[in-house]
Amino acid sequence: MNDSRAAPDQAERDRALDVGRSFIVQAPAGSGKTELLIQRYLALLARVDRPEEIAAITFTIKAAAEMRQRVLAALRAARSEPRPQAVQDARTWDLARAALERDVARGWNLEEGADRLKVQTIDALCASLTRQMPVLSRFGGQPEVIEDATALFAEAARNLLASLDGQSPEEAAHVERLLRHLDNDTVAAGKLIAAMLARRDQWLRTLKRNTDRASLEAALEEVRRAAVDEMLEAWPPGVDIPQLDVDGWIARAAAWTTTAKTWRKDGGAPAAIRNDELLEALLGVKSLPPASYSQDQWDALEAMIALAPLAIRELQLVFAKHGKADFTEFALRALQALDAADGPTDLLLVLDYRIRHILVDEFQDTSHTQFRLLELLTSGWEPGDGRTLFLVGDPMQSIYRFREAEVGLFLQARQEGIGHVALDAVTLSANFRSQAGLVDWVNEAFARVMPGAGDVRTGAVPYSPSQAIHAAEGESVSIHDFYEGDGAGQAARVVELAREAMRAPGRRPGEPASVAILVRNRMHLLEVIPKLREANVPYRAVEIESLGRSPAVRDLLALTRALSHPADRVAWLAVLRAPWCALTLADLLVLAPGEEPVTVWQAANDGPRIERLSAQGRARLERARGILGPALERRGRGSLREIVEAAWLALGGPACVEDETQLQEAETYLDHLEAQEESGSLADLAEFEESLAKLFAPPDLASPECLQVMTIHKAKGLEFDTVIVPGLSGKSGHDDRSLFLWMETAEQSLLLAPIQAAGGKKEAIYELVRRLDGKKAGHEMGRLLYVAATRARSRLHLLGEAKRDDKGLAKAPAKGSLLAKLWPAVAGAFRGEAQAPAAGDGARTVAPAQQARLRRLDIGRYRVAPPPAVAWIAPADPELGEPIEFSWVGDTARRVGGVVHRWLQRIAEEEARGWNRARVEKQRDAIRHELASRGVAASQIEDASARVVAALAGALEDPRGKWLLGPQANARNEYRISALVEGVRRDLVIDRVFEDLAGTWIVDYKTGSHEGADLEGFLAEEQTRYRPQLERYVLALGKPEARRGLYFPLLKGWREWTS
Amino acid sequence: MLTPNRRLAQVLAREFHAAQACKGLKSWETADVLPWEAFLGRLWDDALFSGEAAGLPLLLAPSQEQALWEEVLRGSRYAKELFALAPAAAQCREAWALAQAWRIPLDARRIPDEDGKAFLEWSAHYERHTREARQVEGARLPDVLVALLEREDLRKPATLVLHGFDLPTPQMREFLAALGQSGCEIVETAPAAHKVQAARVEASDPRMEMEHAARWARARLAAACEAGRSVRIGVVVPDLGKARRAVQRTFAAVMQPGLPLAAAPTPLPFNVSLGAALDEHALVADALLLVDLCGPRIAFEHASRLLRSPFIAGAGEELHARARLDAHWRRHCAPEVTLDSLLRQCKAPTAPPVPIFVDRFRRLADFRKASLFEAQPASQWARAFSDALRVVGFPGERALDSNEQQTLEKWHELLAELAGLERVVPKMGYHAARGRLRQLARDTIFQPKAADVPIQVMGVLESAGQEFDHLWVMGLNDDAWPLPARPNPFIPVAAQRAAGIPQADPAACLELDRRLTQRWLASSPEVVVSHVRMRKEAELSPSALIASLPATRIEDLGIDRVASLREAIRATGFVEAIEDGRAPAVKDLARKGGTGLFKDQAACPFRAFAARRLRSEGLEAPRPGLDARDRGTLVHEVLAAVWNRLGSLARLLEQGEAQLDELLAECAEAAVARMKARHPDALSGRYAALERERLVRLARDWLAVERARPGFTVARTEDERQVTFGGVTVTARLDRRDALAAGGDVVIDYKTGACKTAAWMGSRMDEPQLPMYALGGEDAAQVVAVAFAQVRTGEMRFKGVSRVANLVTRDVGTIDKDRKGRDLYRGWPELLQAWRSELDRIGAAFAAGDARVDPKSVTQSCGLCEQHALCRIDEKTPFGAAQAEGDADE
Ligand code: SF4
Repeated sequence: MNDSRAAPDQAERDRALDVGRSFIVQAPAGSGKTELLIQRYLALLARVDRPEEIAAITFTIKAAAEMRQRVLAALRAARSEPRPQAVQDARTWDLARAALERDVARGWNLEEGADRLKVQTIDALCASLTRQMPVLSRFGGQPEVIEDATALFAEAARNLLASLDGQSPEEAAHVERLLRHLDNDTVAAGKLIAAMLARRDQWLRTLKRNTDRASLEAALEEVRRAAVDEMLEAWPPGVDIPQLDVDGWIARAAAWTTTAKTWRKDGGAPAAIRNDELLEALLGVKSLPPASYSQDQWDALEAMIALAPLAIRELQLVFAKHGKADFTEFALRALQALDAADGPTDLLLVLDYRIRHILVDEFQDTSHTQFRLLELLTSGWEPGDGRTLFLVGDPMQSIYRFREAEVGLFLQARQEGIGHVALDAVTLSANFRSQAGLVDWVNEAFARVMPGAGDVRTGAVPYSPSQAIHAAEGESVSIHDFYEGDGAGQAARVVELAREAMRAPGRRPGEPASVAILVRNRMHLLEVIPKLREANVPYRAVEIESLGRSPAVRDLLALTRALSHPADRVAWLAVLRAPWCALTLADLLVLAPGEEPVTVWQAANDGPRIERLSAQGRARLERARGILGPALERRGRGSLREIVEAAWLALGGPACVEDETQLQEAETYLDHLEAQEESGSLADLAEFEESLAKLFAPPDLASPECLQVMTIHKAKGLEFDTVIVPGLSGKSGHDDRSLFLWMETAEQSLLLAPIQAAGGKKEAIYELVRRLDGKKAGHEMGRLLYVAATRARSRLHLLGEAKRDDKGLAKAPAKGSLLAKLWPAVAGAFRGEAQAPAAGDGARTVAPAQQARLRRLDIGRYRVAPPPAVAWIAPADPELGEPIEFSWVGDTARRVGGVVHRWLQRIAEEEARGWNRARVEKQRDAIRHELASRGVAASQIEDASARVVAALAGALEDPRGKWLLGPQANARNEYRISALVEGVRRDLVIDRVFEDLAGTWIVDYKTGSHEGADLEGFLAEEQTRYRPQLERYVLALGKPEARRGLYFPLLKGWREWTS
Repeated sequence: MLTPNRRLAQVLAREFHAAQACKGLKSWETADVLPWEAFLGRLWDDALFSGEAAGLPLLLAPSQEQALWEEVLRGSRYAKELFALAPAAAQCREAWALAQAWRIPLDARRIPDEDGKAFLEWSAHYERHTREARQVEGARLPDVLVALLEREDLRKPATLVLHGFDLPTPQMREFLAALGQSGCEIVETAPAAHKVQAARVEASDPRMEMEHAARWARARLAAACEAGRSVRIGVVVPDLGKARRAVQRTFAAVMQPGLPLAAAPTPLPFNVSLGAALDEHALVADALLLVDLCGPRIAFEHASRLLRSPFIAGAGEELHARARLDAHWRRHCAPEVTLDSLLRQCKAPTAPPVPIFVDRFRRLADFRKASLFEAQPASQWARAFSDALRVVGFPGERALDSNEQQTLEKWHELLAELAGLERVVPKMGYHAARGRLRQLARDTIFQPKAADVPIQVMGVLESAGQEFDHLWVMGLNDDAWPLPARPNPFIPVAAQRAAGIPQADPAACLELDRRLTQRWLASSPEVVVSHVRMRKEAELSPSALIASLPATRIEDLGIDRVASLREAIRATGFVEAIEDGRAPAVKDLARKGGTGLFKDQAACPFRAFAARRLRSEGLEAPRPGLDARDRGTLVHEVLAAVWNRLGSLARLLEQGEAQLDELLAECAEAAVARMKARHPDALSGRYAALERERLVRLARDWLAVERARPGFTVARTEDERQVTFGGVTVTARLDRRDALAAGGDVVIDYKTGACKTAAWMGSRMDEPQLPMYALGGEDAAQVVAVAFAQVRTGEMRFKGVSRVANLVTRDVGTIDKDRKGRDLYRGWPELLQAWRSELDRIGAAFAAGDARVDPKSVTQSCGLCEQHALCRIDEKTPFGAAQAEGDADE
């Protein structure tokens, strides 16, 4: 953006900085959207009373951090750097300067208290709202966020199905109907319900509307009608249109067309209408459902509608039970809270500031829930009251439908505004990223790929062209054509292209060329990655290879499983087969005979068996046993991660991995294990194992690779010099069915379709809704291509595979692939002239050289000298009391003892003056109270206080007690001293020290009680027990000649001795 | 001397002791240093024994206070709607304490919002309740004590030194003023002011930051020890709660890299000031689960954990038997189980014997029936729970180590605390009592005692007022420092701000943290502050509070690079590769199992070796209801029973509608009953009825297919025979064999999933069962057709191959009509011949010990295989084995 010329769309950019108005900005790829956002943010900062009044919402945490950094950087630059030359930069500098003045004037101190810049993700915003509104959000206490709640959805689904045998006959009947519809397959039903719960924010909204049969069927009729009308639009002018109702048209369409989707030769369709467009429309009409639900369908649907809220209820119970909730829950609760709050007034009280300006980035990926949130946050806003919305996004880059993004909302907001806020539309067109050749190609191609007109309902977004800032430079776009079955050829080409591109100089001065291979889904890399490895091309795969497939992680997982469960045979055998132990097949056979009821570990410790191992095997097993045995013994001590990691290290795990990447993966695995384990074990091993499939090692940022491999989704927001997109003809593996589908008709009524009965025929209504949904998906595919293509700065390679017809010419690809979408723009490049592909049936196999290979650590040469520990002198261990035998009786006794102790201390302090039984009796209330405060159960207070009174009164009447508690010379009570005893410091509290004629007395009260006969024996035992303690006192006081005494007020016992 | 927290009090006391010891004293009077709360507690305790006792309110322990707030919330109109009550109650407690400490009047004028209104309602209730019951909690204790300060018989210190109080609350100020008036001298210390060398360093990410700090601490410690100096090193970690484990791990690895290889643990020179919640300790977690087990049901995984717990009687002795019992349970249990159903499972003849376990848990079952259901006072519950634990021999025979010893004591204290709740909650039921106990365990942060070590790792608050020789403060990024404001949600922020609560106001937070930062920078001769460049994917900047300090490179801190154990291991390891694809030949060629052996061998020789010879199998997951295999079995059984009764097509055709229905119903009933015997938990009342209904429906639909066939009689159902190929003998099971009226037999296998005849074609066939049966007997010559009977709603049909057309149905055609077979075989005899030689080849390969990792197709064969870890397939295919399970876009 370092250009001193103004951008061609400068006027639009300037307009967007009018802080008095609300805008929705369409910002195509490379148009410098973030800069504009920041400029707007700075412009607003210069106007607001408190920085918190501006809420900026980003799509990811990363984006939030970046935006905040850039705002701060702009402020810093405005303070300490001169005004730059380039137009955009200067503009930013000016705005930052004004913001800075405001900052100083208001004493915000933004650069120090950056937290006051409210730039956050929608999730964070929802969490902060619900946190401040515990009652309104109905959360009470904020649960912990759980990113992947799959297991909780499954649990809720299970609970819902369990109501089949529950209390409520009504619920049971619904579950029964649902199960019957699904062939009584609880597993499938559970999955469907769980999937439905994951997407609840979408249908919750819809199910709040009319779901009675009549309105749903009315909607159905509307959709049927619309399909016929749409077909009629394609009807050639001048040809008579038969007057038919919908069912009549369905019959007619059936008559005119064949099941093979062609015109029926003798079907009677007028020749004048026989064109492809109409054929397709007629086929659509033919497959329209009847006007009403069948009884079975309706039964099922009704059950689903009834069960939906019950499923939600179960989910909330499950969330509450685990104290966790997903982001969706937070969003829903935030909506609920805002809905309930009394508009902006309450919000002001809650937040302590008014949100006066909202900026939203990536608005094309907004969901209904987020849209609603904006509506609520802006409720009460009036036009011209100084509050503004600023929505930025590129509907052409909306690719997150699977995450509920609804690009239609962008279009809707542009047309109708949000709530009461009208939005001015701004469209940017300058492209600061790509060379002109690329921009021109994209302009031309995507004008054809993307639909001509926008449509809110189907998410159709028309193309909006860009103007390149950078001049053309050499070649820009190449299409590489391949033909069916030549995956290998394509993969080879990808590698070739990548190498070539990496050799070229980078387009950014001083940087090597950046190259990316982008794919629609990981599957499309099946052949590319092995080729890259074969060719030794260094690359960095971003979230491509899941952790669960890493050999290092597999070994760690086996170790985890084995140490968690002695009877997990595969895991134990795998631990013994892993490179660190690597028993041969023959040795494994010795250890794992089929029949005996023993675990592998027992067998591995069984002498006779060990005898039968090979010498090598014995040595190896011996070594492993020395590590695994103690590890198994450690169960329940410390964290599982610690135990596993220590065993892994001791076995030599790090020496067994093939490369550094795997070490990184191992580290990620261990961290994940630590995060998942609960109190030293994994709650559910199977679940844990599944979670690994969704986990990826973080890309090693230190590695200098300039070739990156990732999905197009991951590449969003990034740019590269060269972009290679292989596998254009691949299909998405995505085809999950949901319990019911829904759609909004043009008239905004709701249509619902239940899933087809298990094994039954495809349900026409369900398929109809799916087809319409397919339209949305089709539009999104075009956008996905756009995202891929616009990542490139200078060079773009597109690779696809077409089928050939009998003449060897390329056929137009079937729907569903990116290539099909792109076909209008690239068909010319597919001439069908490629060479015949190498044969192969596509099954992936293991290379023969690998089939029998066993990697093993050479234990003969394996010697680890651990790095030295730090040298220091450890202090003595802290003193632990001796273990107390726990019993309930003992507990109350201890408290009684405590209270007696305290009273004796006080009486002694008062030298027992004025103390006698009567006075003790008077304290009974106080004593009860004291006992209660110390936690004596209500039922025992009477008894306990009686014992206290008896003990105290007894002591006062006992001559020994009188002597002990009465006036004495140099008396100290509760005497606290510290002393070095055998070099270790001890803090001591001596109950009583005094002097009399006999010399110094050191006395401790012992409030132990004793029931039963041999009192003397008990006292003798006590003396032995406490002798060391008193000796310590003596030592500390440095009075070896002192007399030691133990007084037992509850027993009126006494023991004394000297050294 | 008073400090704001316990930590600082300990540190000061230690310093005092060290000074005394330095003077050469042998003993001295202990310094009286204690935290503020403890001081109040002492005054209150003194008051209790001062003759005032009867007039004093009862001081609620925090757990009692919490329970009381919960009771209040539970009794209110909001109770039903709230997602989580206990944490809300905790926040109310906090709000209440804030209101007391900062003197915020609780009236509706100041607190007009919805959340505030709820709080007002609750706090009014709480206030009334405590007033009537004459109770008071810590938050109001200073106010209670102020009234007593004038009294002569209350002991008061002559001098009070305050250390490290940055921001006294109004309540505290009032109290101190009153204390001063009563004759106590109050002195405040000045904060330390070292001449400081401060360095600011940037680490690449949090992991590296932690490691640098640990290495730095090691270097400083080593230097001091070498010089014979004692040293105090502080490391401050904001958000220590989250980072605790990482700190522990990283510091241990840096201080003593060889620890994992050491035979016995040795003391480490650092201490982390924060412990884990009590329920994170395995001993307590298992005790809590045992309490859960006394309830009506428990999650299977929890029961499984208990079975394998080292903390119950017989854990060591029965370790392996219990593990195997668990594997057994997993095959038969539902995701939720009861104690009784588990005990019933133990009785199964196939269940590994665990006499100690059964004995103990049977007694537990009796105990729970006898004493665990009535509502009773908390102390009774505490007793009952502890008795229940005793019944199962908790904490087991393994000698407790010092940590466990202390944890056990803490657990006992916890039970006592539970008992104490009866003061605020008179009676509770089992669920409530269990819930309280769990919550108490969660809320109790527990840390085993530690020695006085030179390196202290602590949170921000604990660092206040401490001095060190070296201090490192990490995590000072601009998004974490200054700490974001975090106002209590129950009092409007504006009111909190007005009252001066710093946590409620960004500006005050900034001010407070600026002051803290300055304290750090003056608290020791060397101070290092650090921040990270990246956290996850986000790029970050240093906190502006430290940004002005000169940036220092980590290399310039004078720290030696200590190799990690991992690196040392990686550097020493030599890995060789050997050939090991062939196991010793099979000695016992007559195998116990079925044709699955051939199926496995065909799919992947290693799989056959692992599954059939090593009996390598994983653990199953308990499942709700029936899985696909069980459901298939049911269908098989019903159809077998039906044909056993009917015997021939003619009989089927004779049946009247009603008659047939009755027959089907009986067969379904019998099949379901048998299944129920195997999985008692899986087929509950209504579900069983539904399942019967489904079976009847399926069978009826299927019989419609059979009706269209040319005449046949059913010769055999569920037939078993020994078959031998390539020398290996296995048992081949067949669902059915029909004798056709037209002559010849057809062998039939029921399939409830989708199936294809392609599974028989070509080398390494996917489904060898039917060919093996067909070819394996003397009657092989009579077989004129093989067919799958695909019994699936909506797709009911036979699929197969026959010698000549139309022997079974139109769907079973000759080989030249078969999609895949027509390219491979010319005619029926050739097909049979090919089958035989292929099966012989497979059998011979198994017999010879072929165990190469050679899956027919990595994508398919490995997809459902459980041997991944053992065969090491991921090492052999560059791009993960089963990765191909279609994942969607993105
Ligand atoms: S995972 Fe694949 S390679 Fe390994 S044993 Fe199973 S089928 Fe064979």
